[in-house]
Amino acid sequence: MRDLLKDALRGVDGFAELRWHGKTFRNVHVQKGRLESSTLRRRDGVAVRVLLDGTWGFASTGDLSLAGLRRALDDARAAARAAAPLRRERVPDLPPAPFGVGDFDQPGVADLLARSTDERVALVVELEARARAASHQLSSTRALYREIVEEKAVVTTDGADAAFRLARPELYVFATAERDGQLQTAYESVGATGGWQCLFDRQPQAMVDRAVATAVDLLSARAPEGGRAQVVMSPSIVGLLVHEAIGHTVEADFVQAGSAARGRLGQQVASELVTLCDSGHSEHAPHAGGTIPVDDEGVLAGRTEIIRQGRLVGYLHNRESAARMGMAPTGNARAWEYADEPIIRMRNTYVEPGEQSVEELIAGVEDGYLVDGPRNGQADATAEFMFGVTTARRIRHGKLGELVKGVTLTGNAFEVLGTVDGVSRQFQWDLGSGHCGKGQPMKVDAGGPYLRCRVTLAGEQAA
Amino acid sequence: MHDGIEQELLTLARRGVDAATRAGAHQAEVYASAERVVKVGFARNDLDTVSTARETTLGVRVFVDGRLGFATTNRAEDLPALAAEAVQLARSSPPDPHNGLPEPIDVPATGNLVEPSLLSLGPQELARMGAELLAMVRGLRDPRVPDGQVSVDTMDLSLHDEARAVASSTGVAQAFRGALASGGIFGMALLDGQPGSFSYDGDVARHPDALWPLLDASFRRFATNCLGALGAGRGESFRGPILVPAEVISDLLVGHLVEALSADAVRQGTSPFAGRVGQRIAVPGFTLVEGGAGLPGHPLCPFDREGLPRQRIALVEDGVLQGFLYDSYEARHAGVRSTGHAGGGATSLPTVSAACLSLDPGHAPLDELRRMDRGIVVTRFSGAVDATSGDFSGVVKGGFLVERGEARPVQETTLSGNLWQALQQVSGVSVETTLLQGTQRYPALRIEDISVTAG
Repeated sequence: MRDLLKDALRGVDGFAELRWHGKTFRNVHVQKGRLESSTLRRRDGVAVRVLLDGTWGFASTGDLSLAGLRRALDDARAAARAAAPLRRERVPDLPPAPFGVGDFDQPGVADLLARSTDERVALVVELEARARAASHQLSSTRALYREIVEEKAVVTTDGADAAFRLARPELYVFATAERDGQLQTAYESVGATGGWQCLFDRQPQAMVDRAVATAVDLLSARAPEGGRAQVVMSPSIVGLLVHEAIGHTVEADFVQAGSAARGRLGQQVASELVTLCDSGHSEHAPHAGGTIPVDDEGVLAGRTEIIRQGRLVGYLHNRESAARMGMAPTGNARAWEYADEPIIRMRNTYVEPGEQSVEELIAGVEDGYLVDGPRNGQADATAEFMFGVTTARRIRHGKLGELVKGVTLTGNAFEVLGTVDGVSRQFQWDLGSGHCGKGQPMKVDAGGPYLRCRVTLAGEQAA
Repeated sequence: MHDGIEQELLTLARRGVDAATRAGAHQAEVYASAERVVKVGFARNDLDTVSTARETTLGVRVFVDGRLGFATTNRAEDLPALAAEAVQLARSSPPDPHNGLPEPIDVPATGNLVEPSLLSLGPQELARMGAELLAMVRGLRDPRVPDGQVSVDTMDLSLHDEARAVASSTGVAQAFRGALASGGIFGMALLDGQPGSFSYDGDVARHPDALWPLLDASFRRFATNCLGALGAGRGESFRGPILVPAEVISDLLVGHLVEALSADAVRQGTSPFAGRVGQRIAVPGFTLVEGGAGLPGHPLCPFDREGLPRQRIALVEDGVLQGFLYDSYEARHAGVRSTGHAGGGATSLPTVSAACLSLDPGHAPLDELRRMDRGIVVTRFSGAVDATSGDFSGVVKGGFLVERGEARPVQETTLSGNLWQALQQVSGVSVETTLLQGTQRYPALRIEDISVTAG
């Protein structure tokens, strides 16, 4: 495919980038004993991006013939010419970058492709049946398997010439418990870059048992009191915090638009205990769900420090933002499918591990909570965030206590990271299932150690 | 795309049905869609990228001995192989006695929804209109914070020309073509380099003459929300009323209510409304209608994902639950007829969903509802809502604290409560309604006794 793309680029004036991008999705979903879906989705094509008169033109095509690619190049050039007169500021010349050249296949693809449909269906059916049999208090149970096998080739007129294949399987189990008309749902999930075996690192049967136990326990849980509280965040909540509330504010396109990270390079924005990075590699632990060897501009996807010992030291860039801000591309340009334009996205975002044990962190809390399991999350340009938490346990006098329900954490992420006074040495990737949304979905991962800090909990107010 | 493309898709879909049947399917359905998109994208207050795309997508759903398989591709030449793969998937699936395809039902002949002058909108016209809208938004000011200015992170104007067809071995055969233009905007306002909360808005139109006024109105609303969030101060903690404007009704309330009123949620045990038809679930005056083939004056494709006619359904009337939304599977499972609410497209299996919704207006002017002794105006809600339990909590974005009728912007204010209880705590419904995206029309609601926590 790289040869075909290079043939199409032969003789093209100016900058052009061709990306062949194929994806195969499989999905098996069982709920309350019924197979809701067993699906296969294939989509592939070529994205064409050109830079003419300092203006981008973009076209996509499913026609993979040489003539089809040249037609798409013509379409993209026509689009750029149409837009150029209305563009106020020209896109600067793109800076040189550490381009990927060659094949960068990731492990796990052959393993996943070798699995039969029967094997996938059997796993999901078994897990859902296990959940259904676990408690008479359950009104609904479901299990879901999804996988993506992705193939790409990226060729540019200025030197990128890379191809790779990778695989991303993921597994979810959900349990809904019911008592006296009250319903509570809990779930567990795992998502990875790699083969079938990655799903078993978390022991799927244990995931089922935890989801069921949490849903049933939540029926008896009370809502927390609202207000400021000291919390110990699990790696999944740390991942949500650094992805949603910090990571998006340091995406250079958002920085240029005026995010809370704008103009703060070199400033102390967090506790000195915090070093925060985004990487195309799976740092500290294997199989991170956002791993990529090369981004969609053909740039090698390395490790980028965002906060070093509390000081803001970097942003996440594509080639254009790097040129505009006089910095180096970081390999963060990503597109969801072939018809999507590459935009700045995170990969695997995390806090570097520290020195303490989780037990030490909990023992240091006089009155607070251990929060684990993201239910959902959103953040703002201001770095203010809101995260729903699946499970929160009271901590009193350094000891874990009862479960509370309906916990939502809010605050300003930089301020919260400024209150960090404990970082565990245990490290985990824990946001590999699901997608990040920014106009397009994207597979990312995030995680880190356990962190002790202070946040605001949404809770009940007296009348 | 050319005239008659929807009929060509129907022919293609029928060929796919034949291929699946030859591959061993006992029942087969093919949904085909073709789309042309022209998009002009703006980023960081400037024009960014103009793009064009065309694609044909096919989805094959088959049943073999009551076993389900589904496969989809963007390559029409792969259709026979795809049909065979769908059959293979079905053979690996456990059977379900309720599985199957619906028999055809007559669909009202409403015709295509293509305004020829809309199709002539090209990248230059869209770019020019976008540049004018961008300048308008950037030029707006709030006298309370005259130095504040909107910064647009992303904005796009698009033309979508789409044809679709569905054919099945039971005799379903429907085709349709529709075109619309749309615009969306996302960003925030800055004051002395400091950002306020971000906001987003947008609208759609089927006629080029309607596009500018609709986008002008929605982009002004976006700018008002962005600028209104500047200079926000700390709120207060209390239990009291919130005012939910029409633009927030779907995110906070109706979207989750409709999820709980879908027959799949009832079957799966995640709806708290199972077995409650005929019971009061909301205050008198609360009437929620699914509009079927479109709200008055805003028609949609007349058939659903399965090729069945979309029907208008009153879900809640004067506070009393009337029924649920069904596709053909859920209808067969429940022993009723489909209401024509199978959603989805060529890349997904049909699932129950609403196509268009409206809440009846009330009798109180919006200004009167805003006059609260102490309450919150929810300009945007960013939070967690559990459609099963109804529990919700989250942050009010760009919201206002009203005290004795005076409003001031507040930051980091969280709301928590239970939606299903909130339906019984609606104390006012505005007489004014707002049409959103051509598919939702809502008034504003005032809801009492919500827990408000200042950050």
